[in-house]
Amino acid sequence: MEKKEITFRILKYSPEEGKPRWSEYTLEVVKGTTLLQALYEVKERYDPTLSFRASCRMGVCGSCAMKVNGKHVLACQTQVLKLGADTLNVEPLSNYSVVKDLVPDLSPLFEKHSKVKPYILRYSDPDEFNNPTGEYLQTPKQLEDYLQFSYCIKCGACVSACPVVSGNEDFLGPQALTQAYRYAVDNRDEGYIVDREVVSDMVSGVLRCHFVGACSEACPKGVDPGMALQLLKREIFLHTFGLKGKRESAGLHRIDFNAPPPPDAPKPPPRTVVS
Amino acid sequence: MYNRREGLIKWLFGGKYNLEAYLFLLHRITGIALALYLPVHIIVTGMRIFGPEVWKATMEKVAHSPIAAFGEWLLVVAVAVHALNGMRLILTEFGFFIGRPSRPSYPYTNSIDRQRVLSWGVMLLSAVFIVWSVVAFSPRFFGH
Repeated sequence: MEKKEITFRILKYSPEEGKPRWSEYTLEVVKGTTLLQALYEVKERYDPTLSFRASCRMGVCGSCAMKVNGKHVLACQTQVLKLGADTLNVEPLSNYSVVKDLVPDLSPLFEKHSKVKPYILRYSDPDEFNNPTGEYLQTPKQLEDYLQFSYCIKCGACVSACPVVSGNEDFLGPQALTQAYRYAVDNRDEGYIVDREVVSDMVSGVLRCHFVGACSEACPKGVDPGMALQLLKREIFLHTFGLKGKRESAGLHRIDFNAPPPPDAPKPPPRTVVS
Repeated sequence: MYNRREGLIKWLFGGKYNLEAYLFLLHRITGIALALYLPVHIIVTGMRIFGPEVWKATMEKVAHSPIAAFGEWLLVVAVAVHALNGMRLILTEFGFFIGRPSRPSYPYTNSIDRQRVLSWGVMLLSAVFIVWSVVAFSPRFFGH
């Protein structure tokens, strides 16, 4: 099995010490070892104080986003030998405060996320949300308009990569604005960009985006925030100049939960457990 | 906690990111340069209201030296780069060349890669314009 000695330079920081410093650890790494496994090994064998955030180990929870040799990755889905370097500089995300070592404080991410009302705003049938009687119908095309952007796992890599956020702390950033677009174009939503007025704010809104595209490159889930932000700008333009046609809200398909199954419905398989 | 917001330094280093990170930097530099130039330009051309003699004297001071010619050439280059990249941004902001949303499947593609042809177009046209402007300005560089 392929093996290699890799030096991990990790930017460590503790509030007691005050200043961040690089620490080096050398490990023998086998093919397939992920960066997260390597960090666990460093913690177990060399430095029990090493702090990092991780949970699912399969690129779903978004906890372990960090920078390796300047690139944004999820540590759990990055294989060390595939990075093709003998020395890896491992740093916490940029554009955030650091709590300890590789643990960024993601509070600004979630605060900005909540500002764009990342949920369906529905006015025509408000009771339906509390007491659902059916489901809203969407065509596959209507689903595809926003589906890609709903894969965001809130890892924060896009905000870390964004040079506009680094120059303007108030900018909502690619994550929040992508979610604004995701909900604004969902045809179940009736708030659109009108009730998410923060997206067109001149200081913090989407017009501060200059399409550097670093967010799209950094995203580990293929969400492509850069595209969402450009499409959001187009929506603002169309809306501002009255060029946006009226959108029909998704209709409600009521379900009779007590109705008998249709005659051609396949029979359920026989019970395997008899109570 | 310490803050890892890199501020304006992040503008200067596109890092390991795409060509567009450097176009962003160029767009910023040229934009700021043009914004600074504009009031100077208005003041200088405003000298015309004090009569032809003042105007002529001002022009003698600011317009007829090789250094002024070089400055004007830089201005022309800044306008060209800013305008060309601005057209790229306008096109992408209207949703052209960036593709349509679709279900992500690995390996992921993204909008910034799809519009790369525009970035190369900006670079190529800027290069052509710069070469042409050097030829056009060369007599003035040498004080002719």
